[in-house]
Amino acid sequence: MSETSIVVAAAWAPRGELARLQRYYPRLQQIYTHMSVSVPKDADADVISALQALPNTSIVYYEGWSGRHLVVEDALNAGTTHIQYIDMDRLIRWVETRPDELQQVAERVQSVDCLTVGRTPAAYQTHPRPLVETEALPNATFSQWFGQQMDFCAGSKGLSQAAAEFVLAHSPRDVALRMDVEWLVLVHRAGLTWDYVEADGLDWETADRFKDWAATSAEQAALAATHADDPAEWALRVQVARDILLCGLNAVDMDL
Amino acid sequence: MSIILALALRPTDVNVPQFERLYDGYMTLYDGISIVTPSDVDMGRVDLLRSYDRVRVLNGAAGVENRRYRTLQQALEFEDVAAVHYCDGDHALNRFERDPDDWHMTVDAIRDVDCLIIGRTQAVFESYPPALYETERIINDVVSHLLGQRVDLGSGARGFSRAAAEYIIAQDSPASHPVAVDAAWPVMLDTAGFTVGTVLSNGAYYDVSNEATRQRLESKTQWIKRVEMAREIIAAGIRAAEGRYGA
Repeated sequence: MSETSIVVAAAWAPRGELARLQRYYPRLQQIYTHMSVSVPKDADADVISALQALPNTSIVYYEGWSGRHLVVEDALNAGTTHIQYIDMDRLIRWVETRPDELQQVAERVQSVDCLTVGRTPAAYQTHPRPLVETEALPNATFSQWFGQQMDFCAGSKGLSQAAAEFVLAHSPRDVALRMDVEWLVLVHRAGLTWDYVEADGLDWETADRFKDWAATSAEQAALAATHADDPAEWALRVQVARDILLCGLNAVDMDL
Repeated sequence: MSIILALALRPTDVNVPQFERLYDGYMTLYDGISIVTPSDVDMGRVDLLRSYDRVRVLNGAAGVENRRYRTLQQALEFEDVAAVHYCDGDHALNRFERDPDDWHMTVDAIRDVDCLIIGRTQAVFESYPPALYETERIINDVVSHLLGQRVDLGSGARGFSRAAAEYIIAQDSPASHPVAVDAAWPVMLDTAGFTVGTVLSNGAYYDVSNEATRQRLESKTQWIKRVEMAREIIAAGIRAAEGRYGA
């Protein structure tokens, strides 16, 4: 078996997670040989200088909503066999709360061209109802397409170098939500290998914002209840679910 | 060619007089009307509807029952049925009264295919409250993909050839989810090789009658309901595409 190596690629819209990233970076170094991070062009200077001070870390700067495509492109430069893409806020929560599980998943990423990382039922239940109910729409649709029940929307995908290059060659960069379903559809259509795993460490991360430590389950539940009571949150999540679906359907029909 | 109008209708003191006003106009288009009502309705109104020669009324069973299925089934009991025009009851009355030319256009189109999905023009669709519009767009996206043609499923109106209607009755049951059939029936028919087509109607405008109604339609409760309905409809469409829907 050939030797594998892995880089983590994380898109980040900083919301007070820097101190926690710095605290747990040594753990990440034990798992990944390199970290690629994308941050907004107008990110705080303190965040950028702190990232620059981290060893084996590269930084790219994005405009708009998210630098998911950009950071995977940067991660290819690390020369590893595999890339684990993950939203930075989820990565920090995961390495803080369940580092062993993160390591296991990172090892599994290196066994296949594309590993979709979903949430266990327990992790999913920590999310607000608007998110759970609306994500069920793309999840049901594309689970049928793939012939396997999966959660596509948890913000993490593993990619081999070949898969990453194929995805970047065919996935338009205008919509960050292409990562959720579209990337796996493209990998599948390319005839590359894929697999699926669920993680407890992908429980809901939004309650962590501007906290010194990962939010407790009570804090998650309190914020989730607030979201569930807000019609605007339902409207937003329906729109997000539709965008995820349309990206996936577009990938199904795309000329390759 | 005999066309039957099939309605699922809750008779009220508003829509029964409306039906009486429209009856002669309907009879220029249809050879009979099938109506299925909920069980808990004023039987005096049911009897009034039954007094029309070419109207058959089934007072539905108590509890959960797919009245769309029942009225389609009853429509097939008329003699020499060639096609069935299904429409949700109040919509059928309002659309026919408001824009009879548009209604005539949809009836004419029923002859063209085994399953006619009578959709809404974009202007009409955009008149719907956000929770309906946004969730129904997702349903339309998914089922359009399943059918391989762009369709709008949410207007509550369909046309079926006799063969298509008989296939539905054989494959489905009155215990099925009434909104699930929005997607399940067209996809099931398409999968079985029936022809499926669509026409866009201007008739199904959504009127928000007052501020209280508007607030209700924009509430969290409405979003929850509509997202759940979208899940139900999409899941049924997927099951139908896989040949797992119905009997």
